Amino acid sequence: MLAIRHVSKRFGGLRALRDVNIEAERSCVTGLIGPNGAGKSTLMNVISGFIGADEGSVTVDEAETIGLPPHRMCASGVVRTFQNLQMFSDMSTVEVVVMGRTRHRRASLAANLLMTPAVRHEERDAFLAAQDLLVRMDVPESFWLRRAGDLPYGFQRRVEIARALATEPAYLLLDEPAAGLNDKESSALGETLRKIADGGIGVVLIEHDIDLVMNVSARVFVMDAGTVIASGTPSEVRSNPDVVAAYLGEEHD
Amino acid sequence: MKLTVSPAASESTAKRPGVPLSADRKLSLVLMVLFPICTFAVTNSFYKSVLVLSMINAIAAVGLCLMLGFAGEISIGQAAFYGLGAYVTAYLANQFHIEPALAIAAGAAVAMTIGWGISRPLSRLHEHYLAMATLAFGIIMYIFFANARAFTGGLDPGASVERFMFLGFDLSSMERYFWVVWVALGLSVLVAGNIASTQVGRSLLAVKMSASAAASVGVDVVRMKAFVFAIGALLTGLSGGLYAYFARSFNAGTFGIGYSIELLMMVVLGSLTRVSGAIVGAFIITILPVVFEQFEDYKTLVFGITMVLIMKFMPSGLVEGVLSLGERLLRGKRN
Ligand SMILES: Nc1ncnc2c1ncn2[C@@H]1O[C@H](COP(=O)(O)OP(=O)(O)OP(=O)(O)O)[C@@H](O)[C@H]1O
Ligand SMILES: [Mg+2]
Repeated sequence: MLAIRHVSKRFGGLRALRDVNIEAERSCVTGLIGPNGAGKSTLMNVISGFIGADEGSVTVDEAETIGLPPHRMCASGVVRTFQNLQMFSDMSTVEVVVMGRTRHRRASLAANLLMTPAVRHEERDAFLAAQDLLVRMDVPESFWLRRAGDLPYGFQRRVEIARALATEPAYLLLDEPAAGLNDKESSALGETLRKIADGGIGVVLIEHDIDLVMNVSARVFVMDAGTVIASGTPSEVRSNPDVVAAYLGEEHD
Repeated sequence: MKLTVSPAASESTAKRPGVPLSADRKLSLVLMVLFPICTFAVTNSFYKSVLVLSMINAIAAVGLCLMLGFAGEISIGQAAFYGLGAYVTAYLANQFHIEPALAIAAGAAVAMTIGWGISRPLSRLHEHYLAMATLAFGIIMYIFFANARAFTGGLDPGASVERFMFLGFDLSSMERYFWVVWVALGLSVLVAGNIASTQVGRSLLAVKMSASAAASVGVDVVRMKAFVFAIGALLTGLSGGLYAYFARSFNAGTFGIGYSIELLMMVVLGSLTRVSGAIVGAFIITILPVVFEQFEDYKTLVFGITMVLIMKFMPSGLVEGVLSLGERLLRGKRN
């Protein structure tokens, strides 16, 4: 279980997170919704080690991880994507996914500099694993060797998820993965997320596309102004008056 | 069949950006063969020495190419590492009479250590802040070289070294020293090529393209920056050590900002993402002043115009530009 307990974070006078408590289980999708500025991305930044929290703890399968830098969080089994697409644009698509294998690479720096047979072996294995993931994420083979930045936006989003999955995470945190996708792409994404969760990964889904979240999540947390205002199954959350109030007048994109 | 694309095949068509990666290695190999051909072709000993100097500069340029082109870490203070390599080499050789090759290795190691050391405080800086900080480092080191006369000889009388000997053989003549530098450049290019075609180079590129994404998939960004500073300083220090035995006597004037800028020009001119580009850039920047010698009055003008034209029409460097031009011509012929 990924457990966030009593996490608070201030940006100057702004209390971006106030005593946030959230749990995400393996093998299911946990939704996290809330109006703009609610603190969802900030929470994700705290969990993944990009910013420090003022208070609170984050545990990954019982192990305390708060304060670890991002690359160590990845080693602890937590990987994330970004609200604004972060692509290694000038690499080939397959190489982008190969980057996700970083924490599974065993060869030393020196071995890489000498390009030993072990390194060549590792390279090949990493490329094969990356190709497997691209197949799983339905990225057509014709895209694999193309410059990643030239792929259609929807496919870059998938490549980003493939790259994250290549780390073999225990928990996958997605910050608005459906933003900019059309309805068809969005429902295909829902299907994919379910499959990922079925594979034993705990998926945390931040989304403004409420239908998508309600369709795939086992549990949904609702944040507003830095706090969790509601949580429960999708149907419980849908009928919660606080949630309705928080979203009143909000336009969702 | 989905899984038939071998890594080798992927590598060869991977855009980073533009043309195949392994083309870089092939081009480097061609250049390494061209250098000896050139040295046999020219009879004038002055031209021979210019050729050797261009190879020495190429080693430093390859180092900066890894830093700036791959990791996106600009350094306008590379002359400091060049100077460190030269002075440590000269100092060790003169004081302890150690084998010149060992002295050069030690100079490179010292430069590497200092490069690694300064990378930590610098790793949080971006772009112009990093440019300013490295520029400041370069200036401070220049002032040190010019004033620590007990160690460097300052501007006058400067430093000098004995002939380059290797295991008792005198390799100091330009014909022989050519091969010493050639081997050093070959090794540098080999290692840099290995970096470029494995996970290390990919991680450097990833840090440049998106440091956050790189960190999120497990790349230790600070460590990669430290590594690239260390390797960049190592190669530049090596080049400085070789320069010491090339010039035999030199002073602090060589290690000013001018040289740092020249190195930047070499890398930007040749190619930012290709090791071979650094060699081409180093060659051109080294020989241009010689070529324009006859037109002394117009030298700066022609030099400047050449640079501007290249920047304008081949913004990703000469090598990139020529390759894509060649591609277009070939396609034109076929059609
Ligand atoms: N680095 C920062 N410095 C200062 N304020 C910040 C910083 N990051 C976020 N904030 C502020 O914290 C609040 C929460 O922002 P956050 O990005 O977490 O919201 P969000 O729920 O992800 O919103 P959205 O749905 O628009 O992405 C906002 O008011 C934002 O302006
Ligand atoms: Mg957000």
